Amino acid sequence: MLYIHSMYSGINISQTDARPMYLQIMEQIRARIVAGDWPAGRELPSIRALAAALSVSVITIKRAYLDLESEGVIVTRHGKGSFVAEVNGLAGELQTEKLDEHLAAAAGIGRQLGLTPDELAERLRRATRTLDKK
Amino acid sequence: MTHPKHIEMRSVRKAFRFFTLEDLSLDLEPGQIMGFVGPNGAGKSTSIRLMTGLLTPDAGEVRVLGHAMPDEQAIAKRDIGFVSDDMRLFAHASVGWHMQFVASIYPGWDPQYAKALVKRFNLRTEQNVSGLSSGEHVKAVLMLALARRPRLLILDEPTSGLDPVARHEVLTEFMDVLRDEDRSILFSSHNTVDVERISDRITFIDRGRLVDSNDKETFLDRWRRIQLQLPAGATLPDLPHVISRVVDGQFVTLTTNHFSQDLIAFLGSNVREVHRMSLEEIFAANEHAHPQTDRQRVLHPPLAHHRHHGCRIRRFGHRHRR
Amino acid sequence: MLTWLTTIVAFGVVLAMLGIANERKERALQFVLSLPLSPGDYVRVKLFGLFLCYLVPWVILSAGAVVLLLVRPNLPDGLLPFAVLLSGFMLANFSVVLCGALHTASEGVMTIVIIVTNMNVTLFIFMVGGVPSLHDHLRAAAPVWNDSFWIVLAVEAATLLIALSLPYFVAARRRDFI
Repeated sequence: MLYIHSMYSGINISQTDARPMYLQIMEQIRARIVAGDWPAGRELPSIRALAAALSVSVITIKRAYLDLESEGVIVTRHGKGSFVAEVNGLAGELQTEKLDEHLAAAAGIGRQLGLTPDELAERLRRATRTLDKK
Repeated sequence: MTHPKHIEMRSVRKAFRFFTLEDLSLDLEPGQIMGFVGPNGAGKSTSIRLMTGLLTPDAGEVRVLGHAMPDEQAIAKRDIGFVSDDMRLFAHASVGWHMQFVASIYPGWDPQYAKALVKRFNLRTEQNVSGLSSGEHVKAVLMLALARRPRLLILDEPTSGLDPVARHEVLTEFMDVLRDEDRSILFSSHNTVDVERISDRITFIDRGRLVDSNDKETFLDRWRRIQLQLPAGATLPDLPHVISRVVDGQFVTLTTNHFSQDLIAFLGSNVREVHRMSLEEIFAANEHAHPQTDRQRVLHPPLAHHRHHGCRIRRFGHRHRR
Repeated sequence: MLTWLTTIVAFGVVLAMLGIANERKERALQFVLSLPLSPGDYVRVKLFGLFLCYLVPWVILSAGAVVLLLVRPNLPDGLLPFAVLLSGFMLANFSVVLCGALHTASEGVMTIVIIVTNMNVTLFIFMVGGVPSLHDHLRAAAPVWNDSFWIVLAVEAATLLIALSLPYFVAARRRDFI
């Protein structure tokens, strides 16, 4: 059995995944922050160090860090590095994201079945009512 | 403080009997990896030889590490590691001999790192070069180049003939080089998966001309495959930036090299799916759009737009060349 | 005599071939050119390096021949001028082969150069040996250094100089390698 314990050994970037690499990295960093493995104030690995560790281009890591910063998930201090942001309403944000994903998928299936948005909305209401009944 | 570019090519031209490299310009900044891709015969090796001083341009300028090539190549090469997949070491000497040979020439040689690389690449110092398999040979040449810690690495198909494990080891070493923001790598490869993964910039050449040179993310962001379902009887008008159109009854697949939300908005509810394209798919799409031979790839009677689009985009591509 | 000739020719051919054609053939040339030198440096180093390599056995064998002539009573000293011319010829011959090897990558051309220079040896012996002003004094007890001798020596020296400087100006200036 191979055991590896290190800061980013669990981050895996798959090139067969449909999503671009920078999105995968962002997701995995967010997951660690939400889980608490990367607590608020913790310094993120330098862009080049992470790039070398994951064998992914520097520019991809840069993009991920940039986007995470614009989301407020991390904070970059010029010349000092990037840190996990202090205040993070991340958990809620992540959930909302997940919901949007599911809704997008539902919309896709709805279109294939030829449902109108109203019909789709009706089905969603029915699903909510079923939940309430339970 | 300005950091000079590591590689600078300006409108370089090189003519041979059956092939001409025309108007090639590219830049490599320190701290970057550039993936150099293109079909066979596109001019990659020629371009690389122009960068390493083995060829003299007919027109244009080549500067590497600030030095004019090929005139100042002796100085430039002190800090360049050049590896080509068809490069051979001295057959009658051992790997270890070569290590001593290179160490005596380059002050930057790191014996510890060299030893680690020998181990990582599964080489044996006592082994004679003639006894190495082609994959081991490439690894040996790479080891000799990497252990000197040159500022610039120029690699022509460095992973050809390597098994997946060796390839992974080699790529890991390349990424390790990039920990230092003063070092850079240019590598040509047919392995689009690797290029897509580790490159910061991608330069795509075809038939002696530059197709595109850009940041990888920008490059990939511009290409999409769009699947549409048109209502019965409807036809799609000519669209700019669409370089291929495949029609299968009501279902149309468009390939665009200048994706924008405007295009999606224009296509409206006909759009079923939008897919990003891998570098390999981009490669193939470019080849289909500007075929070397006159093949037509549609499932139904061809649209006259097909090649018409190709012509238009070609010109557009010229305008956008840096 | 024949063995002496063969040795000295063989040395030259082997050196030239191994030194250059092999490199190109085995593509180690790319590796060499990746080192911090210019292609011109490479040609010059090869030229002088290989020439010096040849010079060592040449000096030994030529000096040996001269000593042998002077020491052995049954060999007339009149052979001395001829021996000198022959030695000079071998050196000039080698430089031609070397020059050829530095300029061409073609095995065919090299083969032709080698064959021609080898045939030249026999030709030289018979031609020069046939010149009356040299031939007549071959069996003399003392060496005769006449005009014919100096003319032939001058031609050899000229050939040598041209063959050694041509790479300097042509091969070293080549702008495209590989």
